[in-house]
Amino acid sequence: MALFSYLAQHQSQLTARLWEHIWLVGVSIALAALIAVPAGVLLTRRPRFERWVLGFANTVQTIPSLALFGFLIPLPWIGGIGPRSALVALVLYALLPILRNTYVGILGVDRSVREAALAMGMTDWQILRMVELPLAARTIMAGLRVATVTGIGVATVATLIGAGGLGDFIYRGLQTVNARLILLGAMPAALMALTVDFGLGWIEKRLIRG
Amino acid sequence: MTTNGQKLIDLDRVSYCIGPATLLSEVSFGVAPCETVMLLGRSGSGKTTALRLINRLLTPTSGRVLVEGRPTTEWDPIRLRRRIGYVIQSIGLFPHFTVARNIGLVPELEGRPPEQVRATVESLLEKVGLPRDALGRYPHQLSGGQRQRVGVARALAADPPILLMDEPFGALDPITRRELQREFLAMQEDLGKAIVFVTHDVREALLLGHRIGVLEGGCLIWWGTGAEFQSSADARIAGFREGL
Repeated sequence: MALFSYLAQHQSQLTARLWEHIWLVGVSIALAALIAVPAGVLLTRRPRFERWVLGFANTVQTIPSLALFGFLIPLPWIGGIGPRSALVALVLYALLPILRNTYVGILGVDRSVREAALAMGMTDWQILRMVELPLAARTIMAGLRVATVTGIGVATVATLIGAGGLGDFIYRGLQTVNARLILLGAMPAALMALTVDFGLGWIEKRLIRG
Repeated sequence: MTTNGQKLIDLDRVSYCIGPATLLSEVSFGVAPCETVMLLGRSGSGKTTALRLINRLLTPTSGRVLVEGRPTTEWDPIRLRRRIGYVIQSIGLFPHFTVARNIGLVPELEGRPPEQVRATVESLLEKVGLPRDALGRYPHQLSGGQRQRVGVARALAADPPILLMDEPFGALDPITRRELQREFLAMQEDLGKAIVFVTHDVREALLLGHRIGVLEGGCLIWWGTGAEFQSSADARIAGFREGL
C-alpha cells in the first residue's frame, strides 16, 4: 500500500517519463520497420547481399547497449547527448529481428505458390503485395514484437545519455539506494513489455498462416 | 515441324543450359490450335524445362520459342503469361484467397468489372465440376482432387488460347486421377486450346494426347501420334510400352 501512495506522489513525473519511454520505443520501432521491411524484401530479390546485411544487423545486436550508447555520444549528426542518439541506438537494435523475419517470412512462402503467381502473369510488385507480404505477415509481425519488447528494455538505458524515459527512476534509485524509486521505473517498464507482447501476439495470431 | 504460321507454339532447335549442364538440347516441335501434345519422359528428361520455356519462366540458351508466331524473348513476359494457362502438380493455389478469388485473379488483374469476373468464375466452377458452395471456401478446406479442379479453372479464367499442364494429376489418388482424366478428355474438344501436357505416365499420354513427344536426356527422341506410338518398332518406345 505504501507503494501506491508513493506512486500517487510521483504521478505527474511518472506520466512524463512513461510518455518519453513510449515515444522513444514507438518512434524507433516505426523507423526501424520503415527501414528493415523494405530492406528485407530487397534482400529476397538480391540474396547475394544476405551475408553482408544480416551480418551487419547481427553484429550490431552483439554490442552491449551501454557500449552502443557510449559509442554514439562523440559522433556528429547522429550522436551526442539526448534523445537523438537514443533513437539511433534503439533503431539499430530493432533492425535485426524485423529484417530477419521479413526475409525469412517471404522466403518461407511456398515455392509452388510463387511459381503459380509468376506463371499467371503477375508482376513482381503484385506478387509482393498480394501474395508474399500477406503470407509473410505473421512472421514479420513476430519480428516486430520481439523488436518492440527488446526495445522497451533497452530504452531504460537511454536515460544515461540524457534521453529520459522510465530508466530515469531506475538509475536515480540505484544511485540513492532507493528500492521504491527503482521499482517506480522498473515496474511500468515490465508491465509495458508484457502488455505489448500480449497485444502484438494477439494480432499476430489473427494474421493468416503462411 | 519448324516455323509454321498455323502453329500456336513452335520450338525451333531450342537448347537450354545452366552452366555446363544441358537440360534441353536442340528440341523442335510445334503445337496447333485445338491440339494436345503430350511430353512423355522420366524425371529429369527436360519435360518441365520445355514447358517453362514456353511461358518464359526460362529463356532459351539457343534456338527460339515462338508463341503465336513471335519469339518469347520479344513478348512482354506479363502479357505472354496472361495468354497462357499454367497448371502444375503442386497446384500452388493462394492459401489466403477463397476459391472464387483464386479463380478470378487473372481476370481481376486484367481489370475486368467484378460482375463479369464473378460470372466467369461461376461458369468455370461448373465446367470443372465443383459445387457452387465451394466458391467461399479456402484451399485447405478442399480435397486434393477439388484443389486441382480449382487449379484448372484458374488456368482457364482468362480464356487463354494456350494451356500448359505439368503432371497436373500426378499427385492424386488413382481413382480421382481417372476421373479428372475423363473430364479433361470431355472438356478438351469444346475448349479448343493448344495444350502441352507433361507426364511420365504412358497410359495418360496415350489417353489424352493427339501427339506424343518423348524426351530423354534433354533430347526429343521420338514424335508421333498415339497410334504410331503403339506400333513403333523403335526399341526405346517399346521400352516405354512395357510400362503399360
